[in-house]
Amino acid sequence: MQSDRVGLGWRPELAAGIFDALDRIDVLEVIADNYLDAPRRQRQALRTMARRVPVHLHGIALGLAGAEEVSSKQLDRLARLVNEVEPESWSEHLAFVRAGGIEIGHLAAPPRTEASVAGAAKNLRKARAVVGSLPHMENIATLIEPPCSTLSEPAWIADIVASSGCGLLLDLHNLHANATNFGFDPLDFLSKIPLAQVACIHIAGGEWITAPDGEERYLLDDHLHDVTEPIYDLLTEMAARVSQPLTVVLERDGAYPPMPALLEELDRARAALAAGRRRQQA
Amino acid sequence: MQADVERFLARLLTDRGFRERFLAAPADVARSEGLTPEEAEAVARMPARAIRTAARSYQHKRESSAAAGARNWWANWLGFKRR
Repeated sequence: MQSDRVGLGWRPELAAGIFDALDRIDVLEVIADNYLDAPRRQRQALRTMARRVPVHLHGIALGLAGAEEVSSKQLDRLARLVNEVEPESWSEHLAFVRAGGIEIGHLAAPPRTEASVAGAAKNLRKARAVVGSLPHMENIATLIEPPCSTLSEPAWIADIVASSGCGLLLDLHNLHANATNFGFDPLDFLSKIPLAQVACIHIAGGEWITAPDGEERYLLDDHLHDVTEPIYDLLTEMAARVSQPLTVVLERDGAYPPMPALLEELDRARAALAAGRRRQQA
Repeated sequence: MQADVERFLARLLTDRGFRERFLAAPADVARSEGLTPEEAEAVARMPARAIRTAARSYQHKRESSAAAGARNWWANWLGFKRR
């Protein structure tokens, strides 16, 4: 049986350090969008890397949970990349990124309704038909509770999983940030989503930001800071609650520390997973 | 309708002038954008502080992406969309 794995988000700035430490990195997650228009040589390099270490492709711009039908052209380009690289899996976000011709430029939370469940399921069917497999879908962080929602976030996620059959990429920092900003219990959230469908986990860091009027603070998911203790605690909780092997990826998008510090974070994640597995067996 | 609310949110997060008009008269602006009375009431209840903070965060991400140039996947995406 496959065991838990811990890896890192591939970033060009980290390339040398990653290649020097492949014996301590179980899996690499690569931003698919960076390679959709990449020269052939770069795509071949990615394919070669995927032969050395398991690679997951992570998409960010499809907007699969939006009301708009996902673009066939975008899916075709992703399908070509998937065919070339043959990643272990691919993933996207439970988000919309455009609407009515407006590009938001980042992930946004749609109203959590039966309509968005149906829209996501339709887009996921189309994605599977074009790409050849379903993505693992990731929960996102948001600073705005989506208006007009009729479903809680866990119920919305559960309904999308049930209607599409997709697996989940559970981002623990996104969960922690939403729980902190909106005042809910992340463990209660975990008890309400289909944990058996969680295949991958993201861990990351964030920072506190102050509202423009200086009156309130929010926890922002920025991937620019070290992973904090509550995230490792949630990882232990996940490992204690599920029986399937988990693949954990550390996301870091800038303000890079020295490679040994990142590898230490991977080791801390392994320790958190092991603690959860021990708790499950006790 | 889901698509109408998403379009409204997209504009709110990307168009500063529209955002300030909305925050000055939320329900009126929402109705003028074609949202139903129920939808207009729901979007009008969104906290102004959270909207401004989120919009600033999105703006920062778009600007960071542009500054990062070709290394950044969001810049690649936005650049692709502009072509």
